[in-house]
Amino acid sequence: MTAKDTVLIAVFAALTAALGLLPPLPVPLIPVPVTAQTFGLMLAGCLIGARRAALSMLLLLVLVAIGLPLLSGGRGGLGVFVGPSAGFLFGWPLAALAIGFLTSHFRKSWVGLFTANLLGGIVVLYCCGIPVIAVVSAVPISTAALGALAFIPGDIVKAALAAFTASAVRRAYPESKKTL
Amino acid sequence: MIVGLFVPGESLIHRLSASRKLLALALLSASLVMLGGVGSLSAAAFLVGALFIWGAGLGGARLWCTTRPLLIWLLLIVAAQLWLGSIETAMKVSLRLIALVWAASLVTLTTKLSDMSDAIVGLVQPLERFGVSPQRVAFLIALTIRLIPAMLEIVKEVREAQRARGIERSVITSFVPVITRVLKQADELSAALTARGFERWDVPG
Repeated sequence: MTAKDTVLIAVFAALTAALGLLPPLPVPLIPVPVTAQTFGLMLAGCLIGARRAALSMLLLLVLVAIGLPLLSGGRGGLGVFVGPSAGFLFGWPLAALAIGFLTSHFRKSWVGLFTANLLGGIVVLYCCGIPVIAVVSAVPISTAALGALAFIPGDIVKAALAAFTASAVRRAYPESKKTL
Repeated sequence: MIVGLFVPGESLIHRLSASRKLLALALLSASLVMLGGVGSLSAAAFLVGALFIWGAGLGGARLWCTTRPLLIWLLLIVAAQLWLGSIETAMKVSLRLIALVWAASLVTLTTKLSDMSDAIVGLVQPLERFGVSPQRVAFLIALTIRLIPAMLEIVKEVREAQRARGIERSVITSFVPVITRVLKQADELSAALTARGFERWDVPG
């Protein structure tokens, strides 16, 4: 692991943590509050490659586990890993891995990045999160999935924003093309 | 500045080592998953709650703080169980969840950040033969904690610069310069690390 790998992993973990400390973004037409943290996950996947993105999300989870309140709403500690939404947390590294993998195979246009974010940041993440909700609350998977539907519109908006930001950053900072 | 969740204290639970507490938490979690009856689960929840309030001297207010984010989940679970299952399952699921979250929070609130970090780095030790260096994990933890305020500073600077130009409410225009600056800072940092011989840290001797 080079110095560059180490720094990018730490920087994107810190950025995702910082996004959770900012007040949640009010998005028009969507009732549930949209936190910016999965936005950080998607950006990491789009910009720093699968392996580094996954490791940076894993690092963020380690920081949360040792007792830093870095999740949105000031949550943190070991408690969040035994709660009903733990599956989504464990899904973060996998989702970042999936987005990074897809990004490296798709065209780096807005549409390519958006598709990678939808598949990794929503499909993979929800596939990790929903079964855990179902097990912890002892309901069928279909019921848990129905409840999670409320968050999909917000996540689609985030996937689009992250894709747009990542493709603009690639043009604004050509150095970032070399990192993939 | 980022402050951890640790609450200083002198209780027996505070003085236990972090790895013992993690082991105890793992055992408790496993037995809570095995326990079946409403009676034994409520006894477990009561015991954990008592340890939390009096055993560690953390008090009822803090117990309420750890429970509050769960309330919405408990409400949803009870509603779903009353609709699909039975009131008994609703009680069992809620009690198990409460006891688990209380126990996990008890460990976090009574363990210093540095002790917990050392315990986690210790857990990484066996992975050393697969190329995971514990020193590097420790370095990453410290570096990230240091970088979080730096990231917030970048967000603040970009917002102020945009306000000065009269752009205030555009999310898209504010994130592109933030991420560009973040990447630039990463480049500078990695150059600084390389200049100090970072790449040779793991080489013995």
